[in-house]
Amino acid sequence: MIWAWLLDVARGFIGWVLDLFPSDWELPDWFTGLADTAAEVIGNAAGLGAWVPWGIVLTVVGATFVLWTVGLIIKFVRWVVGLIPTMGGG
Amino acid sequence: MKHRKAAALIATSLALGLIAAVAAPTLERAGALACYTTLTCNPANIPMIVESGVIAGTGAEAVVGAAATTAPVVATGSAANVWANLAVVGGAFTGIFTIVELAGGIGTAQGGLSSDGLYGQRVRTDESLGAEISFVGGTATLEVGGYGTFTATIGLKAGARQCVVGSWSGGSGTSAYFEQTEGPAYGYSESAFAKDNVYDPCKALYPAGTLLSGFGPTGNYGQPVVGWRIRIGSDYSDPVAGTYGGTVTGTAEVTLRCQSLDDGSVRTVTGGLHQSFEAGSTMTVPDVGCAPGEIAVGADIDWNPDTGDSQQIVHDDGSQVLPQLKEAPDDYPGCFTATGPNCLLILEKLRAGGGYDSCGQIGELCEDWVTDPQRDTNYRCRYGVTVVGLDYCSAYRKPSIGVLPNVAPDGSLLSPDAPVPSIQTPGTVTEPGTEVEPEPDTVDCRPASWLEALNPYWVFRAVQCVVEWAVKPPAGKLEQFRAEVLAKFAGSPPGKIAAALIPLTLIPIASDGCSGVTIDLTWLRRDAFATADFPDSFTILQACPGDTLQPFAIMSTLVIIVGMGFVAFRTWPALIGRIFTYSGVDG
Repeated sequence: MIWAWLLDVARGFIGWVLDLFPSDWELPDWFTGLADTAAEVIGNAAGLGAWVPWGIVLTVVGATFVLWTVGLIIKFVRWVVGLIPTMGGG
Repeated sequence: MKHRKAAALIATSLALGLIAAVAAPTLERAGALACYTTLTCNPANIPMIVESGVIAGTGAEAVVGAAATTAPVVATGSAANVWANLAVVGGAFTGIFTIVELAGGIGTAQGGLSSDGLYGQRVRTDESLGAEISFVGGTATLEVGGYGTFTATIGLKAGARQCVVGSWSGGSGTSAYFEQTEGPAYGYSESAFAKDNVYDPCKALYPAGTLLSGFGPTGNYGQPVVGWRIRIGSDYSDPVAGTYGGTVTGTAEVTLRCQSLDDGSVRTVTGGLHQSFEAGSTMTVPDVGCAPGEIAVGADIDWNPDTGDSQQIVHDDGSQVLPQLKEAPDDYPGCFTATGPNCLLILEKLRAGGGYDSCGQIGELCEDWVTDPQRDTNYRCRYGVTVVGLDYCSAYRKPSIGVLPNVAPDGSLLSPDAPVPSIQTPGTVTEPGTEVEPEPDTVDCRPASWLEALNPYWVFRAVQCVVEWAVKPPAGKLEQFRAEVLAKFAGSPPGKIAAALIPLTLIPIASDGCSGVTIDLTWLRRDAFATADFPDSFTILQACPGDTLQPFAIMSTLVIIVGMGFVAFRTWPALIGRIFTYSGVDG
């Protein structure tokens, strides 16, 4: 009964949230065509695969971004922890 | 500090070593890059003939690009059924398919949720699968829960696979097609698809996650060739013409041979539709069908371009027609005549005063019929006027929730030619695809006597019963919740946005192409250039084996690999060092 009640509440809440959006709204054409556009761009890029080793390029760029992000996160966490007086902050 | 920098350098060296290991086979493959512009090299990428009733063998692959699907394998309770699957590709569809209209066709019929119940149809609805339709000849219009409307004309062949491209209102990025899946090993015309650069959706076997971004007849510049072409992600270059695009104009002609089920005579029905195609657009097959009382025993589809040679797209001499379809009039009298009753699969309940009452289109009026101990005497099943075994109505063993014609009681999918699944002994019914509920505790929640109540066990037992009553969700509640929420979400703006974004995540990333970049010039064809003599497109930077630029492409690859190594060597130690020191690399 509790689960059933919770599910009913959740369903009602989700329905209420979704009803806040206009019911007759339709996606613009340019948005529904995003996948086609992206596929075309990727297709063109793939056609240049003989010129550009995309796997290596993406690996290096991606790893660089990941390393930079990890460093930034650690720095941020350290800054937050430093705000606590007994945890090394001042 | 120095040992940290040393560790960072070691890590960087290892990473560069990995890159070198990746780079070596990449370069080795340079000589085989042409594989991706033909269909004869890499077995993993070769479209294959579908041998069974699914597109790709398992549920996740069967409906390509869709989320939360199960395999659209079909089975039939009747020897006369001819099935067609509807598969929506390139988009998520978790909503319920609603059959808006089915017209024409011959075959057994089985109504589904919200079906209009016309003859010649067999419909299955499922919140995670979609619809399956069985009819030979006719037009189907389906509203795909919240995503759009799909319309297609099928029925040019009976008992064989058939790929019919219909129109889809759900916007670009989402395509739909019918595939007729029952029948012997199917035949198809090679003539229109013989070019190895043309993908045939009727033959293709796609790996999971393949995005079929759209398909339809495509005109190649300089070649009045029309064939169904599927753009699979990025791999759609044309090695013959070197281009992709253009417009072709001509007439699609259908010749349908219809055999009377009364006297066996065959007549011909024809239809033509003059039309133009842009690249990637969809051809409209003329709406030609056999009349009630007839069976389609052969069909031809020809494309006659205004300029150029005709192309025979489909030729079927009738050899693919299922024998059981021909025998159906004898097996199910009354189902196949022009004036006969609709041949629905009907479950009926014995009326107290005699006679039978219908249990509704999907058995919804007889919720407990499967578990009724007197099931065999209280219910009967019939196709049209023909009473058949009660097992045939096993499709209704989940009354009012769904029709399950192709799923065995244990949840496994049945092959198209499997016999109807038997319904289980009343009282031991297991709903297909659902988890088996644990055996109920045979111990009562109350003691049998006041004396027994003195045992402390009953205190705990009472608490246990209360907790079970309060916490345990009712059977089917979660399924109902999921279906309702998904349906609500699918029809809402966030759901529509999500449905449009999901195909983005399914675009395959291919990186080994050598076909270069094709520049479209059709936009220049206007005003003074409307009749100018220049190609619709041209391709640059082609570097496949044999191309002039191939050596330069290899050099480019080497230079970029070295450059990437340099970038990694310069930046990674600093970044790794920053992680270890928390505050950046000193010095």
